[in-house]
Amino acid sequence: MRAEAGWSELERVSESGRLGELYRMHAGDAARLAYLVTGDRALAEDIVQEAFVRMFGRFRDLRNPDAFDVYLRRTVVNLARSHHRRKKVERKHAPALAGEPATEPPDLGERDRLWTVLQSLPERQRTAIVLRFYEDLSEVSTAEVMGCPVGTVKSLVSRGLERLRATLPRE
Amino acid sequence: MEPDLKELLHRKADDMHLPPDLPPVTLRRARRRRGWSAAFASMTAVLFVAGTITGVQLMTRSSGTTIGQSPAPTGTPDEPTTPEPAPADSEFAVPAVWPETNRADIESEQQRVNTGADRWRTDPLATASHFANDVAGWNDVAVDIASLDPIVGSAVVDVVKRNQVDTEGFGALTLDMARVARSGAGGIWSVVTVAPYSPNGQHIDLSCGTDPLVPGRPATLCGALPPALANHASVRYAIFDGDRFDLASFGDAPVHGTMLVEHDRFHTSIIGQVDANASVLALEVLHSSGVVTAMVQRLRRSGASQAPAPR
Repeated sequence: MRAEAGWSELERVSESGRLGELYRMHAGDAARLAYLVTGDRALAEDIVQEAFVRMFGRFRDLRNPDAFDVYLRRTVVNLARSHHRRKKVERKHAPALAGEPATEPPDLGERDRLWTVLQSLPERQRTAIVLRFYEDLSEVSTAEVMGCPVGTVKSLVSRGLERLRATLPRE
Repeated sequence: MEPDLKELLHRKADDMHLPPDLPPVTLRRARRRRGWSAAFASMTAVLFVAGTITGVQLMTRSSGTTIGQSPAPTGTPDEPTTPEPAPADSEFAVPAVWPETNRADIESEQQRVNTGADRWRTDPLATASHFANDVAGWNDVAVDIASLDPIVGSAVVDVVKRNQVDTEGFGALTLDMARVARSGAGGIWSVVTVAPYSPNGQHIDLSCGTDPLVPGRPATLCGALPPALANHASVRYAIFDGDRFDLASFGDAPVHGTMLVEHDRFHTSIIGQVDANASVLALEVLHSSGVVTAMVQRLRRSGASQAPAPR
């Protein structure tokens, strides 16, 4: 989400071309964010496609078109959240599937263990940590993207880090 | 640990690659979606004009006739259901705010349920539970029918998050529900409005002395919470445009944000004006434990007050 794009440059190209251009500039960053939040490459790809489908009908009406990457980031986080909620409902109403094995076997390396633990965090804690430590967003910007108060972000990050620390072996 | 975490996140992120160019299928989906949106906007406009003309004709034909709300639901869950024919096109209204928000999606879902899928949609209590789970994020709720009219197809359902310390409105909602696509047995239930459940009749008051929230006009969003809810609360708001939106994604709304509650009052100015296509106002009252109650209502295009009627 770090690519900068002047909206006025994009006014010159056709609408489809404009979507293509925005995709080339932002899709990679959006996919990386989606992957870190979901831990699933295929799902991350789907989320990015869906985010662009949604943005296509909307970017004419954006209040600040230069902030396309901000809107996109927010859409990716919301789609990941919606997916997570749907999965929760599905799990609740399909107890037979509850015992499904994890799709990825746990890795034994320390960094991979950190990744595994990160993926096991509650979805909102994981999202807050990714936005803070990967996207390098401030607490205020993270709260804006997640649509929650700054205090909630502080608490989510703090609890998430606490859990990561507790699970890792002490040096 | 933070440097390790940062390094790990960047390393993992670098493993994620996408095709460099926009896949044609995504472009097709995007165009189709926008085409549908435009078609539904046009259809809504046509229906609105037709409805207005019909309404005016009815009123001029018989000045003694009042066009108002349906009679208040008075039945119980045990009442026998009498199937009614589906309403004619001209009578079809789409007041629903969840799960579907427009006519095409509701009809399509009704057809899907008719084939045996997601039968829970024909049960107002199960639909209310799903709403609490998906929108408020409450996993364990008690649901109770306050009133039900299976013939008209309307119900009022109270939803209470379990293990609450009191019943003053923490973790409790009242949902007005309706069978929008088809009345009678087999019709799917939709949520029409959401209000805080309060046994004492307390509600979120939006009549704060300024202009009411009306699409197409500058606006201030302000009001007051019941005292029992106000302590340490913040209010998240979203104003959704059009007839396609997702209550679970406040961040997707064209206008959204969070207001702090001082004493029991909240206040924010909407920059510019509320979009002329604005259709729904949604508020969530947040405490540290998450959403404690919510309010969702359709915006009226008249200057009428937006405050929900107390139960």
